Amino acid sequence: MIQLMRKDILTQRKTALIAPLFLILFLFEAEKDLNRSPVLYVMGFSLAIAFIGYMMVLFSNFSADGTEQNQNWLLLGLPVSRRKIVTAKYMMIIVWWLAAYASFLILYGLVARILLRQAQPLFDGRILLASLCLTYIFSSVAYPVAYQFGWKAAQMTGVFLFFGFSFGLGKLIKFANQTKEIALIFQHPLIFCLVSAFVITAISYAVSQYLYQAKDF
Amino acid sequence: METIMELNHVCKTFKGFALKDVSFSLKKGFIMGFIGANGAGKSTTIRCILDLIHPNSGEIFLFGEKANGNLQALKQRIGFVFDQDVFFSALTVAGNARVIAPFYKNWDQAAFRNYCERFDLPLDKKVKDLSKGTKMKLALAVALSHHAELIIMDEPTSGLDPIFRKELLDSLLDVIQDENKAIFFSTHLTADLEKVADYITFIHNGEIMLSEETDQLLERYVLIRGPKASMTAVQAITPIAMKQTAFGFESFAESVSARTLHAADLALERPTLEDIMYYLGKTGRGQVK
Repeated sequence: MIQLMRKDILTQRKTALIAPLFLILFLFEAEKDLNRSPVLYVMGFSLAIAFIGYMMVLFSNFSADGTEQNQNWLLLGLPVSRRKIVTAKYMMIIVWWLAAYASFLILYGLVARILLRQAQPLFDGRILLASLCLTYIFSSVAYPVAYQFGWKAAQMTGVFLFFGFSFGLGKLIKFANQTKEIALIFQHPLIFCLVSAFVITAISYAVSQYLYQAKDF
Repeated sequence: METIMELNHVCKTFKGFALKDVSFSLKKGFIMGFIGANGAGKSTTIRCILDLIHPNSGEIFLFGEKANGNLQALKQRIGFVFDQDVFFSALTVAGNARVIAPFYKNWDQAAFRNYCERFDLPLDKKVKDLSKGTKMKLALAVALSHHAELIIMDEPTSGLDPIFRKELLDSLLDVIQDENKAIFFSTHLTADLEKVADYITFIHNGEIMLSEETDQLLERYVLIRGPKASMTAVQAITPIAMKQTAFGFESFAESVSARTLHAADLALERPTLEDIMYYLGKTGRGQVK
């Protein structure tokens, strides 16, 4: 298991570490809107970090030179079980989330200093937990798609999911005042996030295992 | 001698192709060549052995243990070479070794460096910048650096220049000096096999046509050439195949039946593996042993 995780770290593209730059400038622009509500502030930054974490998950798996099938040949030729290969992928989500969080914190601080802007306090327990949960949710949707249709399909799914989620969140906030059940979610957003992440990850893990065990390479 | 690899009635069906009842075995201390035309099922069989493909039925035994779906520990003892770029293209040769080495309990870094030196493999060069032949050398260096007892290679000599092909064959002969090891490799270049293979297994359209000792196989058949006037005499022994040429005819027959021929104008030659593969493949005849 450790060897597989080490493999993912050693083969990760270096460009993945500067991926947060894409979103940081956008976040500076959206700062005023995000500061209007604590839920929006937490969800906005958590979504950004989760998206970066998700991008790192994709970068570590998706190979630009189209050698996805061949890398499965290499992995399955090595003394390692299919079960462990899939488990290591799910374990690595937490590593990529951590890398995303760290690089986001560093780059956000640097950009704030360069632009002479006041940086938001991002080392926040709520952002930590929500971004981790969201990284797991995005990746958990992508993994079964990747094992069935390949990483290109997973990449597309993830991008649609991110924008769909961001758009859906805005709509949810609008309805929150009108619907009692949705308002309840916003009273306990972290618990909702945690439960959703756990359920989605558990289902995704089981489906991924099934698909990868059964697949011929 | 102990059997190191055994396939019993392995079947696998795909859309438009099937491996049918594939059975053969390889003993320790020997090299087996696996021959067949493109699309005959060589790579599919190798992928079944390595559990990249799940057979529909049949059994695979490696080192005396049933291997179907239970290969993790057994793969410590297997070295593999695929005819594809399986390594991490953005990493250097040394970087690839750093990723792969921890998977093997018996990884020998000194042996890896020795093979890199011997094969002129540049440790600091990225894999994507290597030629196909050099990538094959890397695959071979990796396969040999964890003291594997069974080495499985899919078309290892394709894309290699004649000098390295010779070196590769010499390396295989070195490896096989240890009688606890065995090598199984598929190739189109049957001339290479005649130099090193103790056994030949021939697959055609997903079926094993023959699996036997190389020398016995080469002696079992004969190529007969002669003028058209002698064709009738040769036809009488019911050869496996016969074709007319510009100067007469060429016939492929079993040596046993050819012994009855006495015409002075007939030339009897030992066929090459390529001849055997060609004629048996063309006629669909063979004998499973």
